[in-house]
Amino acid sequence: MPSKRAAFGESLRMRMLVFFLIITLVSVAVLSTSFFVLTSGIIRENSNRLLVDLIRQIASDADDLFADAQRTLEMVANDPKIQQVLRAPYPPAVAERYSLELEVDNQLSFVHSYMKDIFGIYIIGANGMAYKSNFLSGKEGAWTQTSWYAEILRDEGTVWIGPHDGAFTVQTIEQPIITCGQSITDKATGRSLGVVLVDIEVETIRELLKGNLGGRGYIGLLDRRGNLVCGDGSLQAKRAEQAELAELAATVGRSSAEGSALGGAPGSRVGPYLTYSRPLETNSWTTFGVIPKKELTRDMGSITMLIALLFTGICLLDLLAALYFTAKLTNPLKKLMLLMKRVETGDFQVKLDLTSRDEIGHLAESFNLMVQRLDDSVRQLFANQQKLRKAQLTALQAQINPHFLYNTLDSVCWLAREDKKGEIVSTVTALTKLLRIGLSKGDEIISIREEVEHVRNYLIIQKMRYGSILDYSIQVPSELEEFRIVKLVLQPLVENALYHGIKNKSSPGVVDIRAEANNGAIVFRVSDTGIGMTPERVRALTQTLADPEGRSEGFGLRNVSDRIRIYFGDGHGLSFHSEPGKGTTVSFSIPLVRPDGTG
Amino acid sequence: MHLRRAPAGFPRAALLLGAALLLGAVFSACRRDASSPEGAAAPEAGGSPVIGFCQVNHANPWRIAETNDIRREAQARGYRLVLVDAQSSAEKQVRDVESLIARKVDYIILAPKEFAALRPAIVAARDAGIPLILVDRMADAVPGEDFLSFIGSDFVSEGQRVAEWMVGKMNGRARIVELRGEKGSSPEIDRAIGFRQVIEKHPGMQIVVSSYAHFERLEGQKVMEEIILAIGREFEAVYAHNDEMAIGAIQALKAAGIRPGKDVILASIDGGKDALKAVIAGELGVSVECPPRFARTIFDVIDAHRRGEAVPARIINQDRLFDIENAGEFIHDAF
Repeated sequence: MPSKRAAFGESLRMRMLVFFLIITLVSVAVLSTSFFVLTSGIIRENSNRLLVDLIRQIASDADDLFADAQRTLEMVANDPKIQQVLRAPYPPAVAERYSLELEVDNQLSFVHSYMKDIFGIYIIGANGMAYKSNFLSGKEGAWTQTSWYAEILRDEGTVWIGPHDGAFTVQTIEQPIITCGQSITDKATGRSLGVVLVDIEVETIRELLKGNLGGRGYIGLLDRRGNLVCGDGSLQAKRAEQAELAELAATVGRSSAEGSALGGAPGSRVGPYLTYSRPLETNSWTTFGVIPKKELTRDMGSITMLIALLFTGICLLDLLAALYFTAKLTNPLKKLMLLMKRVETGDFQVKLDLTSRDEIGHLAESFNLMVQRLDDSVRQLFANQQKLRKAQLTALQAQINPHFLYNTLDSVCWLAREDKKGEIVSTVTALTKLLRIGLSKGDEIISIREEVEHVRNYLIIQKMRYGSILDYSIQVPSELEEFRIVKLVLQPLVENALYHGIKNKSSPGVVDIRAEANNGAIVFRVSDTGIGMTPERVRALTQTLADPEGRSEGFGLRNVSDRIRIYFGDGHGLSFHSEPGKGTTVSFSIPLVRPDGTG
Repeated sequence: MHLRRAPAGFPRAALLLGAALLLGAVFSACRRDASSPEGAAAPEAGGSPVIGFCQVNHANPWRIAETNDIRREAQARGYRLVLVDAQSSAEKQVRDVESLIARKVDYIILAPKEFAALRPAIVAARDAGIPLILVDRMADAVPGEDFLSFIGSDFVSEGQRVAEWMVGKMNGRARIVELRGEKGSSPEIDRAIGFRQVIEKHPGMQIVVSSYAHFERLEGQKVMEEIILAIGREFEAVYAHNDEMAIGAIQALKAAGIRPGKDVILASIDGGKDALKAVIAGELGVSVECPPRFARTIFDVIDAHRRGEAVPARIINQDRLFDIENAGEFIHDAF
């Protein structure tokens, strides 16, 4: 008997649930992971490519801007009119100086008006004059004595000066400005005539960088000395991180010519980062970009969230589905189990109410049918047993029929009076044996030998009473003697033959008992030479015995017929063969049953 | 030169990743912060009062001088200044004022670009309870009611003084070319009115051409060139609403072989350094001062207002007149 309630892990439903969940979890996890890995790879690759493209584009834009400035320098330095003005000595009259200054300013302004992105063009003449293109109020100073003037004169080409507050020679609001300058060489004499300067507001450069990284990194421009000209650090990070990032970017920008790198300083607050830098063609300044890797994975955060949500959703859905389906599957089984338990305790009045047409439905049908059959069988068995007990009791009663006992004892009494000792002994011995075999320790099945012995003793006693009118013969092959038979079947047949056959005939009669093996069965025949029966009588008797409820006057016959049928099946009833005036033969067959019970 | 925009950057990167990443891109787009209000870093923290200054532009020395003066004065008095530059756009200037209101500055100094267009900004500041001081130019609002105070020059008076000088110089007889300032601005309107008020009394003085040149030097030169082309030498005087246009006109005259200060006399307003140079050079007859450096007055008003004192609704700056007699004396102090 299995335990009343299956252990947690052993329940079919739980196992199915766990199985389904594991399958789903594993497949979803594998799917999510591969999706995540693939996606983050694409993001990193794209980010890298975009960073490179972006920095190259900015470098190209900055080069365009700076090239314009350089062209302006060339244009002014090589302008014959300018050369002529600068070649002339410092005008002694102040009125003349101012007049000239305003005139040349206008000329420079005309050039400037075609260069929208530069802030100002200035000429510092070696002769002491100074001109400007932007009409801003001129500062006063000895410009030829400044370090930048000297530096520009020294240098053959264009000198680039990093960010400084305000223009050198005019009043401004002190906004950061970068300056490029070139010396003006007299084309006639090769003498230095002064320098020309072009200012670019840092704000103009910042416009090139602004917003390009969308707050995810830092892009900027370094001058030749590695000072930050300007940067767009719209990194939404703490100020400290931003400073470190700028510092880091500057290091990268200074160290590498061109290229990208992926690195991370140990202990860095910004962590690993992606970087790319590219020097400008015009002035060897460097544009650079840095994106912290954590910024790259910022999108991954939302993707991870999405995946996690999907994962949870799928698992929940799966759990619900598994719960539902396993319930659908196992609930009928549970119901079946409960009903089965009731059947176990002997309740056959159960019925599994399932209308589904699937396997479970078929199972229910089969179960119902099985219980029904079981119920029938048990009823049958019960009825048979009742009948058998009654039959056994009756057989016993028949055997120790007081009438038979009276007759026998009466015969013994007569024998005693006649002093026939030998016959008394044989009669009493026969009666003793008859009774012993009849009781036979309560066994219902006995050997054919014992049964034959029993009937023989009966016949001995009857022979004693009836004397010459009764003769008998018993022919049972010895090889059949150890097979089994229901006890007390031959004696009632013989008794019947005696009382209804031979006794009613005036002449002497013979009772013949035979047994023979036939096709795996043993056939018994009890024949008498009595008055016999009409065919109608035979038919009526056969019908009565076939009807289980039917009553017949042949009480002994009925008892024998029932018991043979109960033990050996319906096919083993009594059959009659009779002719009026000639006699009757009652026959039946039993299967070959050995003492060990085998067939 | 046209500046190409750099590639779109990361939003496009996200798009490139395709539908799978669309959601991520949307998330990141949502996270992107709105751009912070323009201008200098806002000192929002408590402590010294914050003054917002809306400048029209920094394209000429007058404006630069004014801004630098206000900066200096603010620093000297311990105020914090938030400078916004409208870059010559009235629309942007309205937005600038609104952004200063949003930042809850304590005072707003506004140099209005135009008379009518700035009214909504002034009303917005009034409704927000932020005291506003109008400088240089008037706008369409009532001083002392819509805003705290106006501080600037009397442009009508400037026009009158130029006209009086010209009448004296030309003995009441001259054909005059007028170069007008930015159309619709209060100095342009008032300097034209003041000038006319005086010359109307002198039948010999007549304006033969009146053109707009936006207060700009190159524009003044260009407009003057066109006038010379149109009417030849048939004029004796030029009245420019500011120095820049006058200096531009001088270059045009010189290029056309007309001697400024001799064949044609010129007069302008502002009194800047280049104008004084032109005066000294004998090319510009007179420049009536319109001083840009009056931050001391502005901050006196603010201080008085903070002390709870009544402040005048209108303060008019004292304008000097520079000619060949005094130009050399003042040139080093000129803006």
